[in-house]
Amino acid sequence: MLQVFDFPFQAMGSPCSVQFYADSAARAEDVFRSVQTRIEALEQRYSRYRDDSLLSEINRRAGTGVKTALDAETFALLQYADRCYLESQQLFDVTSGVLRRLWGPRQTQLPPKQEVAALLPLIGWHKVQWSDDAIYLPQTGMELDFGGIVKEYAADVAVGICHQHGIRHGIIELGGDISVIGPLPDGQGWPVAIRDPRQPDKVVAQFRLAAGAVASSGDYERFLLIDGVRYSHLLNPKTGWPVAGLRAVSIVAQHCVVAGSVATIAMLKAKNGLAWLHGSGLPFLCCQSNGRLIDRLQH
Amino acid sequence: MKTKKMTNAVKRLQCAALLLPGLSQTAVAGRVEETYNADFQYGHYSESNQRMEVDIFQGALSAPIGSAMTASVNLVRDMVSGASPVYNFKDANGQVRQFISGASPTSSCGKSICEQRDAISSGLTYFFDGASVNVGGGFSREHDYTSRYFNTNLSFDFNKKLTTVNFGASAAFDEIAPSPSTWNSRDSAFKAHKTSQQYLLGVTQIIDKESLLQSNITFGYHSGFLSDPYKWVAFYDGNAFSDFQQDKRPRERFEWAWLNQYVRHFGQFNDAALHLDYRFSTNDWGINAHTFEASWHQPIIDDWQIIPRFRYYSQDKADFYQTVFSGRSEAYSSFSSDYRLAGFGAISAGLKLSKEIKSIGYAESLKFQTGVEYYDHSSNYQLGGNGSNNFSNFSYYLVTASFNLKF
Repeated sequence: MLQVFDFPFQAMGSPCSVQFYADSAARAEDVFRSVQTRIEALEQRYSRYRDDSLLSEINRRAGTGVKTALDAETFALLQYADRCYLESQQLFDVTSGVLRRLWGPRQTQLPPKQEVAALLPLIGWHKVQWSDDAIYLPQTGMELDFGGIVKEYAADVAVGICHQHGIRHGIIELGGDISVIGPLPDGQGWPVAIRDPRQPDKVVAQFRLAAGAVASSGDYERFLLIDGVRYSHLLNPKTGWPVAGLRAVSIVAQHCVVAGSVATIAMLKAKNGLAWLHGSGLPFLCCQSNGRLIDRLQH
Repeated sequence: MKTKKMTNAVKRLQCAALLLPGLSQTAVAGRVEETYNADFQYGHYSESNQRMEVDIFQGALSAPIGSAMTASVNLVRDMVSGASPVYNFKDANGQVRQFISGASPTSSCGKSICEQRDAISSGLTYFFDGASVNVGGGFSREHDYTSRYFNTNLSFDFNKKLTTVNFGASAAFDEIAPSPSTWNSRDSAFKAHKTSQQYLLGVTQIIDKESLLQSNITFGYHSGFLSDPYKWVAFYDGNAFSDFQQDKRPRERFEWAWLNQYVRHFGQFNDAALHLDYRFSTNDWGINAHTFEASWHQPIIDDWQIIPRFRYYSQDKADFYQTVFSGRSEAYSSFSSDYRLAGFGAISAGLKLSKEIKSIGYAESLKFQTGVEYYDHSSNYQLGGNGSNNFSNFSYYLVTASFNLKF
């Protein structure tokens, strides 16, 4: 007899949960352990907050002349990052994280323009030297950051692990990004709610998701409030300034990693983001800077 | 949620995402296809020398019931007209020749055979985690033949779904009531029965992400009236005609068949796939048969696909088959001169072309397919054959057109 099991946990700096139907508690526990172990391993390798991560090692060696060896998974993630860079006209740039030195979450005033300009030469994915077995950041101070990719990828990987264990009905949430393992046992989709970017306790859209994933990007939690103006945590790699145009975007796609990067690209495209979303063909929900909501989830 | 046509940017992102390790290729939810599926097919079969012509109409519908079940129903109508071989005889020179039933002015279509066959079958499949059960049945009727059949199939997945084991069983109960005709001497109240049972054990093994191997063994047992009520056998003393009897076959037949199929995908050739099949069958009537088939499934562009196919078949003759018999019929317990029980070989080749249109209106996809097949039956093609039955050689072609709608 199938029972539902819910495992809340903390990973990648966010609240996460795995909820699914299994025939016994012991089996459910096994599946959850495999998922949690895999997600922790991804965090351990790709977190920029951990000194012992592969990512920190790559960043520490920037400009030192020492390459870092790559495994197949990291290479695949870099290829994906490369695709995001190409499809976004160089706006989705995994080297733009250096800007966070000036646009940190505890910033109370705008950084001086010259300092922002001084960081721009450290940004540019095209400058990175990488091949299928090694990567090297050619300038001291350059940084790689898989924000907008790894957490979403982890949600997809978790779904794959559940499928391997024969789990057919369930849903995974990693810090707001959702990936469906399979519909409810009666075939219905899981209820999914999208919050108001400015009032987290208010729901702006609700729908059912039987397969695929939803990912969001926007000024939900991370933003800077300087002199009463909200600045997005998403930074334009060409200007070094926060993007303005859309408050939040949620995308439905088959894979969470695609939903996440499409949402991020739309945000980075600022005032051109909405038109790009309309053309993308994917179902989306978008909140414009004036608070207007565009709901294309059912189309 | 419905997905519209996606831009190339999104498609390229999706392709790039599929290269990431650990991603499920498809968001599977059990194995139930959560779509309705409707098929319609028309086929025209035409034998050489204006013999048999068949028009085939087929419709099928399958629908999900809840998340773990699918139901299907299938309808077929065949319209048969033409003529067929009735018996063999020796001409004035002692050469064996074939007698073909001629035109019949009393029949509805002016040919000696004008028949219609209607069949309906349906099935229900229930999907468990790693297993599925199917039960089904059907009914088919033509003016002189009625068949009722039942089948069941169990399928289990093992080894992380890389191995699937199938068990199948089916039974058919047929009633034969040959209609009065020039070639049926039995009285009009004559009725005969035939029962068939068949069992299948099969294994499908996914070898790697590019290839799979399937092997099935089937055992069949048929009993009852297995003769052809419209075929005759001629007996000769030397070259002198001595007896003429209706086809008479044993009342039982055991058969074994072994089918092996290998499928290999070629990503470098635009996702083409090669299918290779070999089937061996043998029965206690003495017929051993080999079938070899190869097809190449080649996607071109814009969801067009072309499938060339080649098939070779060879069988030995049945123990009680002779072109014509010598002596008198009392000397034989069974006798038949039906060309289908002779030793022969056949070569057929075909080509199919299909086009799929994705997401049009409310439909998920619409697929058109058209095909042509040519079949050549010759006693020369038999493995180790001597061409002694060349008088019964013939060929046919088959053209088909179908469309499939998923919604």
